[in-house]
Amino acid sequence: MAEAGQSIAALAAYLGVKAGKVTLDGRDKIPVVKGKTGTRRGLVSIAKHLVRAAEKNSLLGKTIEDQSAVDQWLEYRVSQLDSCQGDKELTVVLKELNTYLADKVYIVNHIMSLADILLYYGLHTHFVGMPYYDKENYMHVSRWFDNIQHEEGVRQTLPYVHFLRTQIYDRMSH
Amino acid sequence: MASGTLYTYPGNFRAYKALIAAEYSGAKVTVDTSFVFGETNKSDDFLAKFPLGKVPAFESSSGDCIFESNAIAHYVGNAKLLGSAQEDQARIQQWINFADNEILPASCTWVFPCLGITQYNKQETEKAKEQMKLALGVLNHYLQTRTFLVGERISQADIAVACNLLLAYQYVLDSNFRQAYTNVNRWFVTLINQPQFKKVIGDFKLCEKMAEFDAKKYAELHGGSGGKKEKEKKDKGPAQQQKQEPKQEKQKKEKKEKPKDDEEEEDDDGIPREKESKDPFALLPKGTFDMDAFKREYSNKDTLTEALPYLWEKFDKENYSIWFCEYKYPQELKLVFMTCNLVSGMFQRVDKMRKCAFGSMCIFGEDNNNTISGVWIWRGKDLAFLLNTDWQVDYESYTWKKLDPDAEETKTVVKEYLAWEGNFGGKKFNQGKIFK
Ligand SMILES: N[C@@H](CCC(=O)N[C@@H](CS)C(=O)NCC(=O)O)C(=O)O
Repeated sequence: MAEAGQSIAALAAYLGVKAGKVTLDGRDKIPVVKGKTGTRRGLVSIAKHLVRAAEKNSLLGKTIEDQSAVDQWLEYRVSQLDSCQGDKELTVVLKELNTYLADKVYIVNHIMSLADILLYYGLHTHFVGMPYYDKENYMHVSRWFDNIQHEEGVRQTLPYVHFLRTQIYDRMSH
Repeated sequence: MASGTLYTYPGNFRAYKALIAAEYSGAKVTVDTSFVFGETNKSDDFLAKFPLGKVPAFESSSGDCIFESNAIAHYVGNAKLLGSAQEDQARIQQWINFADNEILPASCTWVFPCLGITQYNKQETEKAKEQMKLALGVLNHYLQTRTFLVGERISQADIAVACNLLLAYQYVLDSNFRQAYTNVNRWFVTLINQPQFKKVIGDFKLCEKMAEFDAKKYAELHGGSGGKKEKEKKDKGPAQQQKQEPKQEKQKKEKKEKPKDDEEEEDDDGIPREKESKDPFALLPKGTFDMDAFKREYSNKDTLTEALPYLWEKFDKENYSIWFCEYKYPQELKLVFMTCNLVSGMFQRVDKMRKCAFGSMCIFGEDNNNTISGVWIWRGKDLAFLLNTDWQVDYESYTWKKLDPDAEETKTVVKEYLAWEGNFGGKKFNQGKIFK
């Protein structure tokens, strides 16, 4: 399970703003930040608030269509990825993402958005221990992940995940 | 940061490489809007700065004059685009050269006939398609595990390769053809949607239906009908005609419905053509030799076993003549590509002879030691260049010898020059250019 608190800290550092104190609330460990302008509950609303505070609104999507697409993917991170219990559920997410990313470089509309950043943070723990066989299996997610980890300032102190450029496994079934 | 003026006609994908680089680097590059292709770049002033007379060409505010699109892009780019580590720089160079050598020739051979810019040749087009498949295959494989070509970020490598693919993606790589190259498609679509690309290229629509040879358009652009269009073409660059293309799409579709061979029928349709009366060749007897038919034969069939026999069977020695020419000042010829340009320039200047003349000019030797000679066939028994003062720029730099169509030596010379193979009197063949 991805730690929402770590994602918030990393995002704040990327944006160059202060995250404030994050507490985890209840059994579901929902992150909460109490700020001067009010209390924010949940990864999505905290993250979006940080982006606005940093005046990097373009990360939330430029058009209304893009904004709602970014929102959907932020929800996806929380409701699908963060809730994964075990490998089987994770496999479903990775498969879904792999198909989705086959013809895309970024999650939404040809440009990096908050959706890319938070999915990258959310997937990082899973990629760190992933065998090459799986990385190759989820080739498009891997390619996307590799690109995002190279975006200036995104990775920070997170371990660099290594990918092979050439396929080593024979996939007759493909 | 670099700043200066870029000379180009609008819509030139070569110029895009530099203009997009400037969008990324922030270099101030202004396109000279008074530029007229074929005029500005042939003026003394321009040639003094850019002796090739080609565009794009760039003059920096500090007075540096740079030609060759990739060099200009380098000049106005920045370290991010060019790579900081030497390994990255090398890889970026690799792809820039790949773009020019593996993609561009194939793309031009395939696309230009569809725009009527060049004549269609089935073999050449099929060969170009295969080359394109090969290049796209390599790219597709490479991009399977990569987002961009070098170092996980957009560099001049991406800009150069994408720009050289623009024509193909616009006119011939339809969805059917593209589907084998999903990684290339993803990469290309991402690039053309970057704000820096969009600002230069505008909205780009991927090809829906593969374009085919447009004979009508070709005839228009090459003086087959109406003199007006011909003039327009001179005033604009090639790519601008391409830009106008979509507007004419509807017109084109209507044309397509007509029988395929309407190109041939055109000539005998009895519609009086203004052009014809201005054509000096029109004053000469037409004879029995059909120049167009011979050119088709030459373009589409084997030279030795079909085109040459056809020539000798149909040749009308009463009304046509065969000539051999040789460049008078070989000691002045330096690099082979410059010699090539000399020949292309000549072809351009005598473009209006095309209807009734055919020529094969061959370059022999290598850099700093080369010569030009060629074989020409045209209507009339005298030197055709004398028919029109516009055609006289180049011919005096050559010696001209009329060949006896019945002599055995003539058959040999014509065979060697048309087939681009043989002994050539001991000269080493380098390359040839066909005027047709
Ligand atoms: N390799 C050159 C090619 C330049 C070139 O061929 N330019 C053409 C137009 S796209 C030209 O200016 N032709 C005029 C001429 O040959 O006189 C580059 O990339 O800049």
